[in-house]
Amino acid sequence: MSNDNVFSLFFFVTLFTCLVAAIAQDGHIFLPSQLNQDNSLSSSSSYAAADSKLNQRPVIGILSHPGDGSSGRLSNVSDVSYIAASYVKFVESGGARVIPLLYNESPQNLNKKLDLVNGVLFTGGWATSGPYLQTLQYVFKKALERNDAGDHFPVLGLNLGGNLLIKIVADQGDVLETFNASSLLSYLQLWSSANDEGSLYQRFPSDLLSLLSIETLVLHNHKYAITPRKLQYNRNLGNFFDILATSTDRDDKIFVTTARGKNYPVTVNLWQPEKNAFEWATSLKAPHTENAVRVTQSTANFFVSEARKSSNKPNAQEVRDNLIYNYQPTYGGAAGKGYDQVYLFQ
Amino acid sequence: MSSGAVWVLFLLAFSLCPLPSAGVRSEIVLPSQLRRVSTTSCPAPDPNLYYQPVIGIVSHPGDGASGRLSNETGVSYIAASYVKFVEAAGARVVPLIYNEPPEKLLKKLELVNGVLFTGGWAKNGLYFETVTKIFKKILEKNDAGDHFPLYAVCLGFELITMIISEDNNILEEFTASNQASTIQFVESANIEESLFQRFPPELLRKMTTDCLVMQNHRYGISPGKLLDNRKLSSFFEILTTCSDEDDKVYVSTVRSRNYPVTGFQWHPEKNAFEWGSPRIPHTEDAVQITQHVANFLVSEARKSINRPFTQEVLDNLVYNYSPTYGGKAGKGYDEVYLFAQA
Repeated sequence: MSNDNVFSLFFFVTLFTCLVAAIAQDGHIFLPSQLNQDNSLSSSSSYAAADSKLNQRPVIGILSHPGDGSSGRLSNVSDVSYIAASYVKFVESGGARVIPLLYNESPQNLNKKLDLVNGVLFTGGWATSGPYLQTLQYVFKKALERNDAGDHFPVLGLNLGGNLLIKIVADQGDVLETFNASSLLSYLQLWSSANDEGSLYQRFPSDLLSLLSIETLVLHNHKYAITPRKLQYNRNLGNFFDILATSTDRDDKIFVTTARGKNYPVTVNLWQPEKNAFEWATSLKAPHTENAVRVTQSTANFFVSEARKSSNKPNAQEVRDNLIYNYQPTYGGAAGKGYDQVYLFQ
Repeated sequence: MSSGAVWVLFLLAFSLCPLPSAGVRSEIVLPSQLRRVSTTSCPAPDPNLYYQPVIGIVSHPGDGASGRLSNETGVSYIAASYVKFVEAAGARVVPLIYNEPPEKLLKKLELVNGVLFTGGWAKNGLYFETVTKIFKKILEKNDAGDHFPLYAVCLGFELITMIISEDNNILEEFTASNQASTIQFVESANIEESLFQRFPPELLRKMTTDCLVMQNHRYGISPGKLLDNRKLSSFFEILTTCSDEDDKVYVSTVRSRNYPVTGFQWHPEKNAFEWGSPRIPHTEDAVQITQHVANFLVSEARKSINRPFTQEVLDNLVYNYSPTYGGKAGKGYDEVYLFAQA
C-alpha cells in the first residue's frame, strides 16, 4: 500500500467513523452498517419463497423522448423521438426485455402496448411540457390504475422522468428548484426508509451499499430537483413519497435524489444508473469502476425484480412483435460525444 | 511514510472528531459537511487499472440461423447476447471477423484488452485457424507482460482444448442439448483466484442444487480424460463439472494455471440475454450469474496495460454494425450481428 493510501485510509476511516457516530445520535439518517445487517436478513428469507409465483419473463416499457438525442445531428425530422440505448441495455442486463412506448403514438396503440409490459421507465431528457408531458402523465396514471386494480406494476422515473413524476404528484408547478448538479459525481446519504422492504437500496449488496456514502459511485446530471423539506411539506408529495436518499450539489445544497411511493411501486431517481456501465462519452465523466458498474446492475436488478411481481402475462408473439429488437440503434457517439447509441423513432 | 507519521495522522484525525458526549446531539452533522470531509480523503480509483476496457469477440461462420437470415458465402455472425454480456459489465466490444485479412485482425487485437470465443459448431477450416492464431497471440501477450484475459465459451472451450492438447479427436460425445443444469464444484479447486471469487456464497450454494446454468452442447471432455492428458492437465485446473442426461460427468468450467484464460462448457450469456428457448433460466439468481461471470472478465480486462488510441477504438466498435432480429418467431438467437466477408 502506498503512503498516499495509508494516509487516506487513516484519515478517512477515523473521520468517517466519528461522523457516522455523530449522525447516529440524531437518529434521522441511517447507519450504513445497520442497513447492511437488516438487508442481508430480510433479502435472503423473503424472495426465495416467492420465486414460484414470479413472472420470469418480464417486459418493460420505455417512453421515448422528443428529438434525436443529439441536437439534430442524427435526425431533423419534426416528430422524431428517441430512447438512448443505455436505458435498453440497463433493463436487458437485469433480465427483462424492452418495448418502446412512443410519446407521440395514438392512445389506442399506447394502451395496447401497456397491456404487453410489466413496468414502465421514464428516461432523462429536457422536455417538461406539451405532448411529451401529457403522454408521460397518461402512462403514469395508467400505471397507478394497474396497481389499484391489484397488479404490481413498477414505475421508474430517472432524472427528468423522476422530476416530472414529482411535479405531477405535487400538482403544483413550482416545487422544483435549480441546483448546481450538472455532470456531478456524487455521494449518497441514505435515509432510514432506504432499508424498507421493496426499496431500491434494500436490494444492493451490503458492501456496495456502504460504499455509496464514501465513494462517488453515482453521476448526477440535472439542473432541477426538490429539497427534502419541500417534498415533506407539500401535502401531496409528503403523502405519496418517502425519501430514500439525498445528495449535495456543488453549492452544498441538499436535494432529494431517490424517493419511493409509500403505496405504489414508484421510484424516482435523479442519479443515472444506466450511464456507469453503458455510456462512454469522455466529457460525461460517468464512473466505470467495478463498483460503479455494480451500481448499474443492482439498480437494474431491483427494477426487474419488481417487474417480476407483475402478474401480467401477455401473448408471447404479440410481445415479440413489439420488442425494441424490431428497431436498430444509431451510432451517435462515433466522435466520442453524446449518447453512444440511440434508437430513433420517426 | 514512517510509522510515526502514520500515528500523528491518526491522532490528528482523532482530535478533529468530537466524542459523542461532546455536544454532538446539539450539532447535527449535515450531509454537506460529510461530503466535504469525504472529498479530501476519498480514495481515487486505482490508477493501475484501465477503466475503458474493450473486449474482442471472434465472429463465427454462418448467420447463426441456418441460412434464414443470410445465405451469403463468407457471412459470419456474433449473437448479440455475447455483446450484451460484455457491455453489461462495463466494457465495449470490437468484433474480430474471423475471415478478415490477418493484418487487419492483428491490428484489431491491438485495440482490445481481452478476447471472447463464442459458442457455435465450426471445428475446422479457416475459423479453426483464426481461433488458433488468436489464442497463441493471447498467450504471447501475457508472456510479454500484459494481463490479457480470454473467455472461451462452449465451442470456444472445445477449440482451445483441441489446440492445447494438439489432438483434434480429444473431445467426447455428451447428451446436453438445450438444458439447464446444476453445477458441482471440484473440492480442491482454487475458487478464490477464479471467476467465482466474487460470487456470493449463497449463490454458489444454489448453483449446486438449482438448475441455474444453461447447457447446449453435444461434445465435451470428461474430467478423467482432461487429467490424463499431460498438456491439458498442466494448462488447466478444473473448477466445476456437470452431468449430462445419461449421468455422464463432463468438465464444465476450467481456469488456466498460468494465464488469465477461463473456459466454459455452459453459457453464462444466455440467462439474461436469450429468450428463444423456454429452458433458459431467467430468475434473479440466474441473471446474477450472468452478471458475476461478466464482471470477472471485465475486471481482468481492466488489468490490461494496453491503452489504444480512442478514435481508433470508436471506429471499430460493434456500434458500427446493426443487429438483426432473428428471434421474432420465438426460436434461435434473439438478435445477431451479421458480418459480410471483408
